Amino acid sequence: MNPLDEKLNQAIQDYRDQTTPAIDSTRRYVLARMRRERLQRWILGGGSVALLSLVLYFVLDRAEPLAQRLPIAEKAVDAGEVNPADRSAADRSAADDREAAANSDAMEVTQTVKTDSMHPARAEAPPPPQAQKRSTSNSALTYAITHDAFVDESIALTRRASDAVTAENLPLAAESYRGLARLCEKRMEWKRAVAAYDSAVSYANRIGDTHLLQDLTREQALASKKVVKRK
Amino acid sequence: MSSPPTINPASNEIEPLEAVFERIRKGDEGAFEIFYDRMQRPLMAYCLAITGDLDTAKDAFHNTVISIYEARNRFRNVNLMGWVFTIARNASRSMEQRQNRRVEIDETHLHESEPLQSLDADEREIVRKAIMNLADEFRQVIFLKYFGDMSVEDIAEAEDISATLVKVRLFRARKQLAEVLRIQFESHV
Repeated sequence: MNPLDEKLNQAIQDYRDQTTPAIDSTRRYVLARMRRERLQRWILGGGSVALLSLVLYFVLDRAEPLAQRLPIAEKAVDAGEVNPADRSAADRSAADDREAAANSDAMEVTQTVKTDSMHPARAEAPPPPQAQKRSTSNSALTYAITHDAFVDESIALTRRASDAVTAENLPLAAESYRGLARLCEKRMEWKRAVAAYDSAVSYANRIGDTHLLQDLTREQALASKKVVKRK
Repeated sequence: MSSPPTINPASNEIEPLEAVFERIRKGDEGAFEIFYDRMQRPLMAYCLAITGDLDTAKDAFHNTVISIYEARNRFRNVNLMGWVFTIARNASRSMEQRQNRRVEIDETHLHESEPLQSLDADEREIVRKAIMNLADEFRQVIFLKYFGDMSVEDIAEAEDISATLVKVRLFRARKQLAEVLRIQFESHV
C-alpha cells in the first residue's frame, strides 16, 4: 500500500472509531421512531375501526327499534284490536260478490305496493326477529336503512280488513281500508289509495254510516285528482 | 460426501439503493437497516468534510438521517444519492453556522486549548490536521474516498460532478497532503 494511503487510512480510522457510537445511536433512534409510528398507525387504524363499529352499533340500536316499534295498524287506523277468535274463522265464505271484489282489489293494492314500489331487498326482507337485533352489523344496517314498515303495515291492514269482513265486522273493515288508503297516500301511491277508498266506501254504504261515507267520498275524490295530476 | 453449497451470483446481487429506499417509504425497518449500513459512512464522511469538526459532524449526521427519514415521501425518483447528499450538505452547513456562532462566544476558551493541541506530536493527529486544512473540495473527496469507502463514480454522483473531476480532485488533494505531511514530519524530526 502507498505510504500516504496507509497514513490516511490510519488517521481516518480514528475518526471511524469516534463516530461509531454516534452512528449506532442514530440508527437506534430512527428504528425506534419507525416502530413508534407503525404502532401509532396500527392504533389509529384499529381505533377508527372501533369507532366506526361503535357508531354503527348506536345507529342500529336507534334505527332498528324504530322500524320494529311502529305499531303497524294502529297508527294508520283508528280501530280496535281484532279479536283472535275472529282470525280463526278465516275459512268462512265471503259475504257477497261486491265485498269479495273490493277485498281482492285491496289485496292487489298491497301486493303491488309490496313488489313494485319497494326496493327488491326490502320486499324480500323478513320482519326482524328480536334475536337478530344486535347481530351482524352489516345485515342489520341494511335492514334498518331499507325497512320503513310500509310493507308490514299494508299487509297487516289488508289482513285486518279481510278478517273483519270474514267476521262480518263491517265498520272495522271500512276503517281498515280507509287506513290502507291513507297509508298509500303517504307513499303517494294515489291509484292504489283510490282503490282502497273504493272498498272502504262500499263497506260504509253497507253499514249506512253517512258521515263516514261523506268523508270517504271526499278523500277518494282528492286522491283521484292526484292520480289525474300524475298522469 | 456432499459438496458445499455454491453461491448463486444472481441471488447475491445487491439491491439498488432506490428499491431499498422505496421499501423504507413503506415502513420497512429491514430496508432502513440496509440503507443505513450502506450510507452511514459516506454520510458521516461528508458531514465531517463539510463541518471539519467531529462533534459538529455527529450532530449534522444525526440531523441528516432524521431529515432523510422525514422527507422520504417527498422524494421524487430523481438522483437519490444527490438528494441524500444535498440534505447532508444543508444539515452540515446549518450545523457549521451554529457552531461558528458558538465558537465566537467561547473564543477565550478556544485560545486556551490551542497550545495543548499544538503540542500533540502524534502522527495521526498531524495527518488529520493536514486533511482538515485542505480546501473544501479536496477535503470532501478525501473523506468520501477514505472514510466513506466510496467509489469515484459514487462520489461523482453524490457531489453532482463528473468522475474525471473527482479523480483530478483526489490527485491534487493527495499531492497537497503528501507535501504538507512531508514538511510536517521533517519539522517534527
